[in-house]
Amino acid sequence: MMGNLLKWEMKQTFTSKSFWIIGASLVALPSLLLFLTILFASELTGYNAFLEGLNNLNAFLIFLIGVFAGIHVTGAFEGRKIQSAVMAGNSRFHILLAKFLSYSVSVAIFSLVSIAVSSVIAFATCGITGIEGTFGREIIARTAVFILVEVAYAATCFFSSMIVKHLGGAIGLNLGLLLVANLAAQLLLNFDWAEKFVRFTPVGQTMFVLADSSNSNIATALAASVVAIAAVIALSYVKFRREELK
Amino acid sequence: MSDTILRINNLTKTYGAKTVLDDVSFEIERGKIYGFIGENGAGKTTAIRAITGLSPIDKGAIELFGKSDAKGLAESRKKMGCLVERPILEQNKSARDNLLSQQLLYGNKDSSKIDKILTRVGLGDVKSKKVKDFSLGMKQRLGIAIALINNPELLILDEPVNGLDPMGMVGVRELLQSLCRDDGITIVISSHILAELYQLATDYIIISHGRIISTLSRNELDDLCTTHIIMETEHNDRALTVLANSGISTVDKDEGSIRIFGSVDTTYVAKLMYENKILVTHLAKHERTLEEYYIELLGRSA
Repeated sequence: MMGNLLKWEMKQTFTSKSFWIIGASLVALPSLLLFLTILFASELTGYNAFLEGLNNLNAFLIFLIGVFAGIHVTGAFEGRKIQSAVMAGNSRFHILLAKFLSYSVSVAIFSLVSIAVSSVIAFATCGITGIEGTFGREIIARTAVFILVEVAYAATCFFSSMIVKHLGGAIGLNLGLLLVANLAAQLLLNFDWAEKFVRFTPVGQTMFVLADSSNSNIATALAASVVAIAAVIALSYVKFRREELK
Repeated sequence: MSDTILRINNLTKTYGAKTVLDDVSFEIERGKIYGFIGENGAGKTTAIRAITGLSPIDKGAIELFGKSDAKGLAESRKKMGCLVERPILEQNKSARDNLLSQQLLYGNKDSSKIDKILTRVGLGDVKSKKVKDFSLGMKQRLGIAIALINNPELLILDEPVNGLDPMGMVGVRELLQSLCRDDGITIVISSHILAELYQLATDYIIISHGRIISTLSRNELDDLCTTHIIMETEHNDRALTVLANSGISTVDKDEGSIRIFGSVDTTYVAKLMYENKILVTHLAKHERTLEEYYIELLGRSA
């Protein structure tokens, strides 16, 4: 059904300069920061260094994923790639889904490779130390959930890039949105009443999942991410289904 | 028997308070080349954008290859090649890579076809050259090549000769005529260049201010454009008598020539003169151009 569309979309993504430049930045910058932290910190366990790596990725993702979303989504409208897919006889829902999948897979790849490199640096320099629980649960399962949370967090930029049809404007909006969301979440976490609410958002979970690996929080992170992704797809489709394509 | 592949029924499209397509209806039959004519802002591009799925419609229906529901329409668009406004090209890729990318979108794996298409549109020698180094005419031809990649049955081209030099226009015209004649592809082409459309199209759809004001075939257009026959003979007075005796009364004499109005065939007049041993020195149809007819039509519709 949409196999050809998905192949086309993935090829467009993986051969684009933005994928490689932003991907390389999201791998190199958090790893470099982690390396410097390890270099200057005293008594850092491998586990803490691993968590530091996740935190660094999150910090750089705020700046870089907004740029990637702008280029990947708004750029596709500006370059009339979306229009090309419509004229080739694909349904708008399939086009949206293929675009979202290629975007989310990119974010997942960036995160996975970045975490893998950071983890190698963390455990190679500090040793496999300080893990409270099994490696599978604390490292592998938490990484998987963290990546899903990051994908859900990045999905907000997908929607904002669907709204703005100017590349510069979309990137600006995305950066502003991510910064405001991040700052708001950090501020709200100072209040007990707000913490319960923030926990159910992807931006909140980018912080919670680093500190709380309890079963209930993992379940909350999964649910919040899935709901956020579904909401972004639904809202984007409502916007796109009858949109005038220039 | 006519085979209608595209049927537009009462299509209406508004942008805010402005109605850009007002109850538009027309049909496209297989194997013909349709010239879609209209002034700037007449609604040509909006109609084409609605057919290609780029612009949602407010009222009315589009039936493409017998399908009019959203899913069927999307599926039918796979049998259609389009060039709307300007070609969708990746400037940093070669002509060949642009076609490969479009082929992937259709799931077509036969890459040998790409070279054939590029040769067909006259870009066989520059297939590896980056598109950013192409001239405007080459880009237009590559746009047509992209539209041809999935063996379309219907080709919709919006202003494909815009900005082309005379030789470029001739090249595109010959290509389109050959696509229709040799490959049986039905073509809808919009253009401002009426002289070009007159040479290319077999049928015409004329739109103005969002309304279809005329649909006619080339023969019908020729009949409408023929205003009178001009004849010069060695004996104009005798010729007038012969014409009158033959029942042709709508005749006028003017400075050595005779003008015959109405639906009179030139062959019949020539034969009549020959039988009466009158030497004809000049015999021609006086025709309006498509441009003159179009301007008159617009004046009437206004």
